[in-house]
Amino acid sequence: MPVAMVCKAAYTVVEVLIGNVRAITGEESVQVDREIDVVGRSCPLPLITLAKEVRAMQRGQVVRIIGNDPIFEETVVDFCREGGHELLETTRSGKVVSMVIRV
Amino acid sequence: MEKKSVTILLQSGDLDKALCAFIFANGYAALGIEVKMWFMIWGYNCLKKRRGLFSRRPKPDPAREAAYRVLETDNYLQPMIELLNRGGAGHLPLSRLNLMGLGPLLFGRMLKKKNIMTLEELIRSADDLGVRFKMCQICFDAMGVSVDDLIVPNVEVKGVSEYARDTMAAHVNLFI
Repeated sequence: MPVAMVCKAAYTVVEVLIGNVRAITGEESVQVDREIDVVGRSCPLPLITLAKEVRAMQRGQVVRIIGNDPIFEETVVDFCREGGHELLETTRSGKVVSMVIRV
Repeated sequence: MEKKSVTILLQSGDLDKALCAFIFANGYAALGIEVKMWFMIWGYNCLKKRRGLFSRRPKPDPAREAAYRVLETDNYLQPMIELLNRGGAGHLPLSRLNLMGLGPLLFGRMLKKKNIMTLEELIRSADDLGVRFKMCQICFDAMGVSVDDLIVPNVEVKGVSEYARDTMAAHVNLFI
């Protein structure tokens, strides 16, 4: 049990370090073409807004969507799976989740 | 991969059931699945424009409605049911806890507080996303509905054979 806790703590520390290193080297900055903000709106509005925006975009463009309802992350993951889009990164700060997708 | 399709038939005129139906329609349409929504007897209520009790509803234009409405067999029952069944997306009852009309008001407040879309917004958004609206012709005729009197501009009036073909070709069929 303490071994598991120590391992988990070590993993968290390493993850944080890698995250910081990425931020310093600028590896995680992707050129975003459009940004959608649906903070404060509930399902199904995030899904509908995302679908409408993606329909107006071309293959290869990048969109960032920010939301904070409880199933926001799963919704976007499902959308990518169904439509064949690529999920580039997920950033969580508290309840607000920001996800970047390549169409 | 073949394109998936889904049919949703809304027969109930209750607010909670109509909300479910349109949330599903929006969800499927947003994921790129073809949705065909059907409406039967009380399902038309969510699409009707709400009018006042004494306002003159425009008479169905004979040339346009001739294909769908048998106006010769209309009698006193059609205006009567139009009066009693005014409908409108903001005026539907709940199936439980209706509380003589207080239920939908409280329900609406609950949804608004949580920033959930209202039924009218869901209907318009379904129309934007390309959901096809179809209505049953015999119920359309018997309940005195008029195609020009709905909040959605392009509604098709079809029969049961089209419903059978749609459901046989679909992957998921819902009856609400």
